[in-house]
Formats: sequence, structure tokens, C-alpha cells
Amino acid sequence: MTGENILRDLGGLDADLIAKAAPGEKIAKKPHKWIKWVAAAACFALMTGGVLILPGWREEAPLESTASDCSESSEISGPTEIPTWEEPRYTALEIADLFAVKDNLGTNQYQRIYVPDSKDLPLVAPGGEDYLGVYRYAQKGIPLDKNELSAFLDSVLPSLTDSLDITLPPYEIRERERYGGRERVYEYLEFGEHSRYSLNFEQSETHISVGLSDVRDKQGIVLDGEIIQADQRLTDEEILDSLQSVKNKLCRIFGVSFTKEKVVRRYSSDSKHGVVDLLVYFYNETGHPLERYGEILSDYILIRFDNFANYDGDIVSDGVLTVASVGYRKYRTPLAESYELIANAGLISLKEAEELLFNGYAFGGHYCPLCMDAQEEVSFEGYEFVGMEYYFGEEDDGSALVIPFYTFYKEIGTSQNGNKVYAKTYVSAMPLLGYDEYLESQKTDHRR
Amino acid sequence: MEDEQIVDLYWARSEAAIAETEKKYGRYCRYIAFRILQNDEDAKEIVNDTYLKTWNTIPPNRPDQLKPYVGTVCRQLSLNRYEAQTAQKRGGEVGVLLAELSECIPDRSGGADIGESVALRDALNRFVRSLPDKTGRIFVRRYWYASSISEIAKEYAMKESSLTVLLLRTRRKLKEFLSKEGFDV
Repeated sequence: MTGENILRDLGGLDADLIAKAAPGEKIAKKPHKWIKWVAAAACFALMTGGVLILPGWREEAPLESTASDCSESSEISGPTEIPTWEEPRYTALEIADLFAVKDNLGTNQYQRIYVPDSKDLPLVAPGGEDYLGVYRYAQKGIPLDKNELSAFLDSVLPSLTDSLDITLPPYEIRERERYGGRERVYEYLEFGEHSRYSLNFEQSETHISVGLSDVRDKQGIVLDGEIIQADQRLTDEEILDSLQSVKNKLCRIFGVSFTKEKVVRRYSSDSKHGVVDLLVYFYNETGHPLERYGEILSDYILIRFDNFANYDGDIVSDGVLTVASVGYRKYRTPLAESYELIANAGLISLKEAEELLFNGYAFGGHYCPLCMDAQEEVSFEGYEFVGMEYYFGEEDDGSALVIPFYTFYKEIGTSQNGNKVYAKTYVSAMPLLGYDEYLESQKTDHRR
Repeated sequence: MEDEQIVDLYWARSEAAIAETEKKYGRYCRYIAFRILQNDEDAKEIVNDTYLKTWNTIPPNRPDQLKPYVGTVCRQLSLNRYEAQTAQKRGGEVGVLLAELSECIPDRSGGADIGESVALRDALNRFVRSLPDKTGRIFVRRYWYASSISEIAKEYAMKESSLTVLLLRTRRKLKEFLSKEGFDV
């Protein structure tokens, strides 16, 4: 009997059934305490004839609360119904459920960060705030609109192919069924001599995007006779300066104007060359507080320089990078408005965070409930750097709770390519309950 | 990084897609592989193979949810490895699962009929969807993820004995369901 057929038949279960039964997925969604609070406040508002408004962050009414001394107070605005959390709202286990076990995003164990130098660490220093916003991310979609997509493509593709000096082959947009609660249409084309370029575009309920890649010959993307390239040996500012002409062309092609720009470099442990990839973003600021922590919340253009070998003959470089892809993402519903401020949370001090860290009360120790790899223990005593970061705890329905963490970095060695290796771990910037229970659960769950 | 962005990276043939997949779902895949193979080294190899197969299948595929996609790839590869390793004997968690399921799912070892296979998969989906939410999750957790009784019981705050009974009843329901659907069980 080949009984594995049985298991293979079960392998054909639908993706949503598989996803919601995954290890660590919540069995039944318990309302968050803030939801209970909101419900209670709503009842109270109704009983008293008042109105409860949970505004987006753009509401301009001043916030009257203890958060008035918060550095965000000029940015976080809205009626007084936005609560201020002075006391713990979550247990460490609840946070672990959101951030560690469920999504395997890395807070079970400390992360390894590879950089040539400490100045390359992507961290945002804590601003000394007493309060920071807690957000609920839930991007609403709107129905697909063929006319909108056609108009977008009609406005973009002619100027793009003109700049590439290539004629686009005929194409059709394939429909897709609704899947996972969302719907989208997309198309993928390869075109040019020897299928030099690939072009993909799509319309989902939340955005339209188009991406152009240098697929096969790795000759680089050439716009109006100018190759898109970046010299990774330059500073970020110098790279951005060198790409101004390309930026102007891309903005013209996509019909946009972006005032902000930034470079993101990613490194690995084993590449003998510099960056693994180098990303250049052109975008706009929206004024949302999360932008301070590196989030891009507007439409954007992204140029990505790859620096690794996909195929034989690929050139990996220590200097000038030419293998690029270009993408443009246009949100159909404003992304920034998808981040709803649900509370201003009182933060623990850096000193209190250090105490938690030194006692092991961090999300990112060497115990892991799920994985098989045990990490070497790292003492964060004498850590080198501290940052502040928002973490996205995704829920089953695609929404997310967005809450602040302190991040601590400790150098733990040098990788084979000479990059410095930092261990990175997280300590909740909000006070939590039940740390001991959380730690014990990690120990007992490991390798179960 | 959102799944959509990672899939974009695959479509752009950016190897960063693999790094992002590993970062986000590496442990998830290792869990699946380890539950089936019960061996760290084998599990690691399978997870690497999972990234390669994902790379080779996106595009043309464009999964909306990357997690179940890579999970399914990983599970298939793990079962392949399990078959190769245990051609002569059955053992481990998978052996137990096979014994549990053999009474309620038709054995198609006599030859794969594509039509029957599709019909069976469709029926299994409908069956799981017909179950109460918690029971459906537990069923999938046991027979898709090959999670142990003790692990599931702990996560769902149930006694192991209660969980065993629940699974037994669910398997009986499955047998009855498939029988009504015309499958020879």
C-alpha cells in the first residue's frame, strides 16, 4: 500500500485552511483589550448621547491627554477619545503570539545582522518619548476596475517603451478568481531582443504596480540611452545625486513627483562582494509618525540593484552595479490612512528596558518554540547600540497591530566575508505583564 | 515585508526573494519538514530545496499567500524524502498518521486516476470546511502539519485523551462523508 497518497490528497487542501491551522495561529480570535476598551467607550458614548470617533491620524483636533508632553503630540491628533495607556495592556505571551510564534518573523531568537561597519546598522535611535502611538493596520481595498488599470497602462507603457526604445508585444490581462479574500489581475511579459526585459503589472484591490527587470542578458536597463547604475562604493548621498537624471526620467514616465529619496543596502554573511542588493526609493512624506521609523507610506518608485549570481555568467561586483529592476507602486486607497492610531502608550524608560534585557525578558533569546536550530547564547550585557522600531503583528484577516520596541545590538563576531555580525533582540517599549510565564513557556516549548 | 512584495521579488527574479522567504517562513518550513522527517539535517535540506522549487515555480505562479504556498511545497518535498527513506518500512509520526487515516480515506495505490484525485481533494476541502472551526484547524494540524497529539493538545488547551477522541470522531465523520460522496472507503 502506498499510503502516502492519503497524505498527498490532504496536501491539496485550500491555502486558507492550511494557513489558519498553522502552528501558533490563534484558535479563536480573542478581542484585544483595546477592542474591549473601544467597545466600552462606544457604549458609554451612546449612553451619554456622545459620539465616539476613532479618527485617522489626519484629524486635526488637538489631543487632550497626558500625551501632551509626548514628542508626537503635534503629529498624533484627534479628539480625546484616543486613549492613553499608562498600565500594561498585554501579557508577554500575547505579544509573543502576535510577533514570534505566529509569523516566524524572528523574535523567537535573536537576529543576526551583517554589516561592513557599525554605521551601516539600520537603526533609529530612541527619541526619549514618554509616549508613542500604537496603531492598527488594516488597508481597505476597493473593487478592481479594468478601466482604471487600462488608463494607467495607457499612460505609462508608451513612454516607458519609448525610453527603452523597444516595442511592447501584444498582451492581454488575465483575470484571477477571488482568492484569500482579495482579487487581482496581472500580466507578465518578456520582450526585447532575446527577451531582454521583463515587465509585470497588476491591479489588486489595494494598489496598481508595474515592474521592469533586466531579465536575461544582464546588460542593464537603458532609459533614453542612459544605463541605470549605481556605484556602491559611494555614499548614499552621492548615489542619489548620480541617479537624479534617472529619477527625473522615471517620474516623467510614471507621471509622478517625489521629493523624498533614500538608499537601503543589504548585506549577507557569505558574499565576497559588497552589498547583496541596493535599493533606491523615491517617494513622498505623508507626515505620519511611523515614517520616522523608516516606513514608506506613499506611492513610490523603487530601483533595485541585484548583486548576486542568479545564473551562470552573472557579474557580481564590488563596485558599479548595473543589474537593476525598476518598480512603481500606486496605492488605490491611501496607505497612510490604513494605520489607525488606537492609543498613545506610555513607554518604559531605556533603563527599564535594559533591566528587562539583562534579565532575559526579551523577544529574541536563544530559546525558540518552533525551530530546530538552537542558537548560541548571547549576553547582551555591554550591548553596543540601541534603536527604536515598530513591529507589525499580523492577524488572520490581514490586519496588524503595530507597536513599538527597543532593539538592542551586540557585536558577536565577524562573518567569512569580513562583515561584522550583530545579534539583535527586542524588548517591548510598552510595559507588559507575565514575563516569567512567557520565558518558561519558551523553555518548555523548545524542541517539543 | 509583505507577501505581495516578496512575490514581486520572485517575479523580478531577485534573489532577495529567497532571503526574504527564509527570513519570514524559514522556521515555518523547518517545522513542517521536521514533523515529517524527524531529522534536523534532512529538514534543513528540504527547506533549501523548498526555496529552490519556489524560485523555479514563481513565476509562472503568483500565490496570494506565500505561507501556505511554501508550506505546501515543503510538505510535498518532505513526503518525497520520507517515501524514499522508508520504502521498506513505515515509522515515525507519518507512519502513525497513515495508520489513522487508512481507515477513512480511499487507498488509490492501484493507480492514480486524475479525475478521482481531483474529486477527492475537492471533497476533503468541503469536509474540512464543514467542520466547526476549531475541529477543522485541529484536523489540518494533525494530518497536514503532522503535529503530535501532545503538541496540539497543549496549543489548544485540551487533554490529550480528549483530543484523541475528537480526532477519532472526526475521522469517522470523514469516512461517512466520503462514503456518501461515493468514494469506496
